[in-house]
Amino acid sequence: MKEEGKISRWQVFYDDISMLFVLGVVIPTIFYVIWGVMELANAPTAVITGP
Amino acid sequence: MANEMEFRTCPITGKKVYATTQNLMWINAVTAVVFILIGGIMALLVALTRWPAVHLLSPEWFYKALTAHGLNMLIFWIIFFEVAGLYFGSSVVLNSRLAAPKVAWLAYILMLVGSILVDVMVFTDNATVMFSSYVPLQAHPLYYLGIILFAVGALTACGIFFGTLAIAKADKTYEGSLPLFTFGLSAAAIIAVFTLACGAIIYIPTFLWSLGVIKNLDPAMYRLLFWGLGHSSQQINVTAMVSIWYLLGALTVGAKPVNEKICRTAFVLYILFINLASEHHLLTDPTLSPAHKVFNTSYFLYLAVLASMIHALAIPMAVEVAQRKKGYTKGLFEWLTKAPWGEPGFPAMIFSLLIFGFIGGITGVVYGTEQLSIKSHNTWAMTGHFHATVVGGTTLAFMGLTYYVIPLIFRREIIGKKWASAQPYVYAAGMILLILGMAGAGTLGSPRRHWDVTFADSIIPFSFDPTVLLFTTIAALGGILAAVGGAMYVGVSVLSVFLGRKLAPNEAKLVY
Amino acid sequence: MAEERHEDFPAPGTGVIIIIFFVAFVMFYFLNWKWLSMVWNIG
Repeated sequence: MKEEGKISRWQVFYDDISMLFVLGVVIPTIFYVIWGVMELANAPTAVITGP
Repeated sequence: MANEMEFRTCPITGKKVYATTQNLMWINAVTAVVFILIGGIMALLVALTRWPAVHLLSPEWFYKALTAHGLNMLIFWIIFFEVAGLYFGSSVVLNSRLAAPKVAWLAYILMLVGSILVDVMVFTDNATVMFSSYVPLQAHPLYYLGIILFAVGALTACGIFFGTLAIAKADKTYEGSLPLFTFGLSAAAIIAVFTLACGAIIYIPTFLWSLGVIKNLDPAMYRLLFWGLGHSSQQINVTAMVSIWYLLGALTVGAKPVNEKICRTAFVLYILFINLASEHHLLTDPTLSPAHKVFNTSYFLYLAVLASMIHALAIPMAVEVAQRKKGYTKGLFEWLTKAPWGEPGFPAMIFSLLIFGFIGGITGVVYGTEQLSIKSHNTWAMTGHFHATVVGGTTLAFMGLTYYVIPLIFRREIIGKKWASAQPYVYAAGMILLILGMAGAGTLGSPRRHWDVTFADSIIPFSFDPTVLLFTTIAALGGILAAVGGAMYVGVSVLSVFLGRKLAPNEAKLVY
Repeated sequence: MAEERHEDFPAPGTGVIIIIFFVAFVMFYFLNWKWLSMVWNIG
């Protein structure tokens, strides 16, 4: 919302494409990729017990 | 090659259209249509095989056609079209020269070589691995190389887009914030960077595995990272589609968002959270914890779902407000009944919005619930969902936009205007039948990715509820109708682009 | 008056579409949970 000569902080944030870029890459990388890889890497190996 | 600084001024919008941008848009868009033709032929063959009454292809050809259909539609058609859109949204909308046109041409060549390599591998029996190419299914190394080349090209095109934004800002070719359409495309491009990075992280080791350099590739790890590419690429499509809805609303009825701040907030929610939707492909995987699943598919993703709901409200609202200003105020829906239904862009936008929202969105959120996913995973209901989003939603919106790009950017008169006007109706009707048929059959248990759902050759006989056959038939008939609609689109586009009368500078207009 | 009502919310037609959308959403959610309960009996 533009007041007289002032630009709202939200508009400044939305206009900062590089900041949005960083957040848009970092957030899914942390919560989806890194967390997921950590879980999968720490999954216990199945032990097959023979008949 | 055109001079980088050579441009013309669009008589309708007053925007500068640089010759380099126009040429790059042209080649990417035309290539996109070639791939929708290949993907569409494969779609028809697959539909006629799933329909037990016809059961057209052999098993070998069915899985080959299905692999080709997925790749040509989900990746090649859509991304070539989006690249054309990125150049339009940056260079044309911002009145700016394109950043590094020679690099943009290199990006195109990489994408083209990659896509041809992939298709050749699939059609020569070297990569019948489905779109998802799940490890330990192994394709020929050139298949993976093709995908890597395509991804590098697409990533380069995203770089060109961002570079053009930087040039436009430095040259002060626009005032204030980015226009909403370009802002939406920026969101799509940011999502694309994460997408393609995931693609590189997984396809490079998979390529090395296919060469024998890496001995083992963990399937669970592959699935996690593949869907970081596979689903996120669909979120690029969603974001691009929503941007095009705003554009088509403006072009067809002069619609402007009632509150643009809310629309931009919705795009920002997409940027931050929509990639986490990839998790829903992993809901039935045993190795990931419920915490990872719920956090990603529920808490975070629902913020992106909120964003979709904002757009689903904002766009019809903008259209209604614009129409009411024109005097269509009788009752609740005169604004809609008196809308320009004869212009192809308007029905394309509305049907895209309704199919995506009502069918695709609802089924997506419901099937993406951890428990409900158990029932719907690997059934044809899933296929119904994503045909509602990617085909009924994104592809239909792209088709609608094409009918404006051809006269306004490529300066060719549309050949077959009546066909163009009818095409969104035919395609939407076909897709609705196909989607409802798939969802109905899948809800009753009919599997996806299966050559013969009657299980006629099975050692252990099994038959579904007979209603499955009814839904399968509806899906097949819908698929045939949609193929007709697709053929109409390809026919009108190709004829117009190559044979359409060249329009004089003041001839192009928005109204059909 | 119709125009005065529209001053409050400028897009009543869209409002109706959205309500239909939410009703469809709730119904589809309910139906799927119901079907899941039929496939996967617990207790």
